[in-house]
Amino acid sequence: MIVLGISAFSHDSSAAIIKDGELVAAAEEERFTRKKHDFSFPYNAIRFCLQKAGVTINQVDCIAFYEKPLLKFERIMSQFVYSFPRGFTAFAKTMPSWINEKLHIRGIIKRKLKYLGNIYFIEHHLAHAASSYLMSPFSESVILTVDGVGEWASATYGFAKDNEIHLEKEIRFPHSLGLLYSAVTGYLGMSVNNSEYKVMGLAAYGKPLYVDKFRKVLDVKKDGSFALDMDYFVYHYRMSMPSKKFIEEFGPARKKEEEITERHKDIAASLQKVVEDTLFLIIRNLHTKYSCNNLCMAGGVALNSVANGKILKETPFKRFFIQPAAGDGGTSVGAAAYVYYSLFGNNRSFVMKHAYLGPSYTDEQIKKYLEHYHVKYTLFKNDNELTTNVAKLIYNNHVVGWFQGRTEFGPRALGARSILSNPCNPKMRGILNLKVKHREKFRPFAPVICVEDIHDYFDVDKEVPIAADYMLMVYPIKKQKQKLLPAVTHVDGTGRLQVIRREQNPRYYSLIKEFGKLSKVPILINTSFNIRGEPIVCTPHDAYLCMMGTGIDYLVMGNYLIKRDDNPKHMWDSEKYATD
Amino acid sequence: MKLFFKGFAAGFKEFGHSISKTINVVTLLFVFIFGIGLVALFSKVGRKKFLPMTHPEKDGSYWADKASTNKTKEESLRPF
Repeated sequence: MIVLGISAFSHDSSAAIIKDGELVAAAEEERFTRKKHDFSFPYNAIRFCLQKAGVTINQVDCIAFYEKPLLKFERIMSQFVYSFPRGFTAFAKTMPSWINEKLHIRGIIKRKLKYLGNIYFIEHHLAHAASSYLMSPFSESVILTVDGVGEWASATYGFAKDNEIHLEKEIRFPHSLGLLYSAVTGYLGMSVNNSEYKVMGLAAYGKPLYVDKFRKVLDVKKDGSFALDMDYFVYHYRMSMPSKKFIEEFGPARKKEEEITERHKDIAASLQKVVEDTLFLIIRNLHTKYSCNNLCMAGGVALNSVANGKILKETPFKRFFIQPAAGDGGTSVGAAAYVYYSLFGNNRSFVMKHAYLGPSYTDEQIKKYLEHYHVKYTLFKNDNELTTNVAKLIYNNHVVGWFQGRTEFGPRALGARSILSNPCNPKMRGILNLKVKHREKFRPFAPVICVEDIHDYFDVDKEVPIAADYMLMVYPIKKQKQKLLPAVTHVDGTGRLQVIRREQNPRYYSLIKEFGKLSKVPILINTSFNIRGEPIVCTPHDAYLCMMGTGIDYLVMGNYLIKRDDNPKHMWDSEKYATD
Repeated sequence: MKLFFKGFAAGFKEFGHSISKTINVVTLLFVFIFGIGLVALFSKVGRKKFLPMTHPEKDGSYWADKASTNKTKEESLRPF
């Protein structure tokens, strides 16, 4: 049986395909169209998924869509009715896309794909829940989903056993932990639905001095359930988020290019604290309620790696799972998995063990590209030669673009499309920012470490959750090791690490080990292969262009090594294109 | 000459966009006032609240029961 999952017309459109129980391919549309958070119909991602599965659209048994569009429409109309006569601007902006696209999703899918089979519509939070539980190694689990908003729900919880997922309770719009986080992100001058992780990074610099004020905004009950005081927000009828009352309470909103002050840092720290406390309260109550030690989480809030890193310490759960695309991009996987396993009752046999589900390019294709553009390169004969040489380059403080195998699914670069560099060099953060990323100074870079070395460098949980493989956990770096890792140690002594296992990516794993032999520290800096504001690179052309427009010194694509200085004719200035 | 026609075509295209935008806004304003407005008016008269601005609380909790619309294949075929 073949099920195609689609997520579209919200943000982070994506497609995924399950063939005979295996998740064969999954990709976000932005990687192909080069538009960050692309919400258009994921035609390219679908075409890739079908190709990878070796099937045509006629062979797909059914399609799963990630939400119930008419329920969402009902919620949006309710917002306008409630807010009337306010809200015309938002109405005029949103209605055309509803009238032209979102109300005719079945027709659009059938027409665009020339598809004649059944299309199943899976509730948004159920798709989130399925994307986590049905991809996890658990045969039973508590499930918690928290995001901005789906149709009506902004958070749900429930229990799953075997193929059955039962979401029992929900918090309904406009009360939303995700929207609270987004509102403050906007208030702090950063882009909503994009820069929430920056607020999380900023939080480490501040003190939680505004917690009491946030308690006025967010009422939390003993069981962790919450409600917002909506006098502080206007997102239910305007395109902006905090209200005048919020600004009176917390001070003026930060403008985009304005300097970040102590007040901004303290507000970020207070928000993070309030969100963490609420999450832990919910999770502790869920453990009491269900007496199960497994927890699966999904939704945009599950990308909060600082909170994730504390879950096993702060709650009685013993194991937990988050898949790499925990945000809306991952709902295509969830919708497909729910249809395949829960609706059709097929046996569960698949566990998501890595995130390498996107397109790849063979050495032949890479060579063809390089020769077409007259790019000078060196060819490595084998893995050993490649890893030894590249490790030396990194050890000598060169910045290396790493383009290997299938692209990652989800927002994090995990060693398929990464920029790698030396974490032991105290100047490396500055070098990376100057040469490549042009990003805010307060943001840390992430370390990658092999699984067996993790306890030597990080204060991690005894049993490290699989979520750490997807860079979804922040842990403290051991005090005595922090001096060895100046470029990846955040101001609060933590690191958002990626754990790598040999079987997931042998070449990447060997590179880290080779670097360890040279530096005595088996850790690399791993940051996404893109310039600020762009999606992560996908094709050899994207990667080459990114290298030539930035200060990346070397690019390793498959078995080919390209030195930037050998190819100076394609220079361009990436800074001109860098956005938020 | 070629440039002139190119510019002429671009100008016409822009003019077309402006016209369709204006018609869209006027139509949407009409729908907003007479569609949304009337429903809002009747809901105020009938004291029906479309949005739970104050989250309903039950037994000291804001969690509400979730009714799934995906219990069966038939339910899942519906976009609502």
